[in-house]
Amino acid sequence: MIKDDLKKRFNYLIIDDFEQMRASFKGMLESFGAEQITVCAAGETALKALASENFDVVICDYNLGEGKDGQQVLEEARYLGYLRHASIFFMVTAESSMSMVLSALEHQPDEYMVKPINREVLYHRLNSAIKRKHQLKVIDDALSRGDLTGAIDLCDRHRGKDLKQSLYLAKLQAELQLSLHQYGEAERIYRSLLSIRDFHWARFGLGKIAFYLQDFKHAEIIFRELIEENDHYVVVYDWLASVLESTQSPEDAQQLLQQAVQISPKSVSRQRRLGTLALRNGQHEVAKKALVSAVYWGKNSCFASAEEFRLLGRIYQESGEPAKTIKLLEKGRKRFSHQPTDRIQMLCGEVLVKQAKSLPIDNDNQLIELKRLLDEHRHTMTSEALLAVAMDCFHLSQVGLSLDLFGLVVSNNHDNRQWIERVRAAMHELGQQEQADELICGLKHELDEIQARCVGWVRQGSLQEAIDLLNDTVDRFPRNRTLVLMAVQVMIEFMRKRGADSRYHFRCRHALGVLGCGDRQDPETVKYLYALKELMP
Amino acid sequence: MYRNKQQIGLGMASAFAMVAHDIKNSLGVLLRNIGLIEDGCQAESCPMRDQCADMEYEVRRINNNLVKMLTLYKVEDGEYMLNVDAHSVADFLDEVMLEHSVILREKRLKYEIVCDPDLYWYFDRNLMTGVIGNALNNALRYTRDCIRLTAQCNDDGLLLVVEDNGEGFAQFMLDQQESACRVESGFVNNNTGLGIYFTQVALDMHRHGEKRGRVNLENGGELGGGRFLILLP
Repeated sequence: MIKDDLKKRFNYLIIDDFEQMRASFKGMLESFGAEQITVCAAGETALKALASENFDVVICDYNLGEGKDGQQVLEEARYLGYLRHASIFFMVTAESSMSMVLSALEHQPDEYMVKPINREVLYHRLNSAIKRKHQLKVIDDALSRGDLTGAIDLCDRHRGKDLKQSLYLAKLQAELQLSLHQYGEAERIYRSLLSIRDFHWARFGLGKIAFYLQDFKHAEIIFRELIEENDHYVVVYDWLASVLESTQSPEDAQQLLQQAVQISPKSVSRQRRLGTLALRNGQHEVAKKALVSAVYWGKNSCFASAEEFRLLGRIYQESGEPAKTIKLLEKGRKRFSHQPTDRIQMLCGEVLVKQAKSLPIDNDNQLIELKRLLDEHRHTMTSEALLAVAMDCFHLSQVGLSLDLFGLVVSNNHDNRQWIERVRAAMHELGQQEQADELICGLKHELDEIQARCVGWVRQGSLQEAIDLLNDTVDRFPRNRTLVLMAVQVMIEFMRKRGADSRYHFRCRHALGVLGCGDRQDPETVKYLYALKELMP
Repeated sequence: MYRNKQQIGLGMASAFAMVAHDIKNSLGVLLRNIGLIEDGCQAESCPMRDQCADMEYEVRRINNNLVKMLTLYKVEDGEYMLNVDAHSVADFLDEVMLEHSVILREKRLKYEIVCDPDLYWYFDRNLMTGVIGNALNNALRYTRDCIRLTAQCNDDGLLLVVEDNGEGFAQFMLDQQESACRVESGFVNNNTGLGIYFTQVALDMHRHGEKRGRVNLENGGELGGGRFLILLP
């Protein structure tokens, strides 16, 4: 019936667990003249197909039975870069109301389609989606290049009489501004949209801004109102939990996350977060359940991490299940063999179990390996990992090494009260009260002073002095976010005044790279990287 | 504080979701087969054409009822996630008609959509698809040979009218519409009544400031049959 050259050239992917539905979609596409059509019955196989081939259009059922659901397929495919900006993703659902109303645009499909769908409607939707993609191509291109500032400008310029597109662009613009910490601008957009309609996602945006500006009271009010209106807004639970953690109510935060995983159990990162928090709150049963789920749902997921293996291993060990511990940690070490931090953590766990079972044979070899890995990698490890390994080392009677690692956490976070208090608490747990006070006081004093001195120099315009001291300090503590960002900022300012300098340029990029590793979307890093690109394209 | 969901409540919602998923898959398969049968009808006078239209009508009716039931359940439970976005009204109405294309084609019904192509409005598309689908289902059943969808905005909101040239609504329906609208009256004793109730619930969710939506049934107009009027704030 309907033929169209454009659609003929497209490469299609259909994901549905129901054979008849796959055949149905395939038949409809063929009636439009489509020739390249791949079908998959499960999310896992679909991700493999997406990894090996470029698809122009993906039609994915939300409900895929046992394994991953459609939302997980979408999020992983976007995260892993399997979906080009130009690709169109249709999410097919049985019911109209999805929990996606409040999620960020990058987690949303291009279109939701509600079943049952006939070929006329599919054709109509396909055409509108192609048209819209075409209109937004310049913005997609800017986003693919990582040019967020450029994309923001384009959002402004492309708003026209198509109200649907204008609203989309306003939302996109606000989200981009939020990620670049341009809170005032984002807030203006959200407020102007709220005067049109009571968009829940705009109120959610205002809540995030309040959170970023540390106005926790206001953020809490907004988030609680949203949940009051609909207790299925799972993403809001995550944010409210962050507020509660920041306001020293970890038990409330845990309770909230428990409700969230009940509503939506498949999120690996939420289960991990709940497990970590519950463990810190001393709720081992809750932690165990969450971490088991995290390991389970992470089986084929790019969002899995060694963290859940390590923590669960610790719980198994403490509850007297050494065989389970060793099996789990071995599995984890294989899975994350390419990541040094993960290997270090797994190794710690294994050695601890073996020590408890008094199996000293390969203990020594493994200890040497552990020390070597730590020597090489401690400077790039996250504070969370360092803290855990420091505790483990203490239990392994490596007291000196343990203190060094605690010290590194303090030095990486000298101006962050939350982290300092966590180090103090951890050391108290180990009976190291006096050492904690001495360690924290000394290191914090040293770094506070360095920071103050550099701020003074910058004010006086002595950028060179500030840069030298900052870079020396960053070499020692490349994970100290405050000092790294300050060093980068001063170097950029210096280059703006005196012209680009390839040594500084390289240093900046390197420092940001270390800081941002494991966190692809760190907004501040992105901002500085962009400034660097302007200085030296 | 948070409403702590009883285990039973959650189980019910997911059971509903699963059943809906399954029924919708079945309906999808039926629709496809209806399309294939229609394609296979070579002769203009093939008697299967009429039957295709009847089958598609029933599929749409089952779907409409399922949507009504699920939506009302979710709204009552405070679980419905309203997704208000800007939409081209003309595009939206086109799509609603496309959903019923086999019936329109095979029953040789004339239809027209009267709508400014530059008219945009804010609403939950899926919810309003259910609302218009419901009104259209009614019109398809009672029309002689003509259906018209009209959209225009006024000070109170967007007025959507679904009208036909049939006999019009029965007098008792016109009399009962007030009470069917009132959520608290619980006075719903037939499917048209349920349709009005569902429409009113959907419109109430779209409340905008002081403005509220309204649904009205009347007879007459240019086509002379039933008119289903929906005011969306």
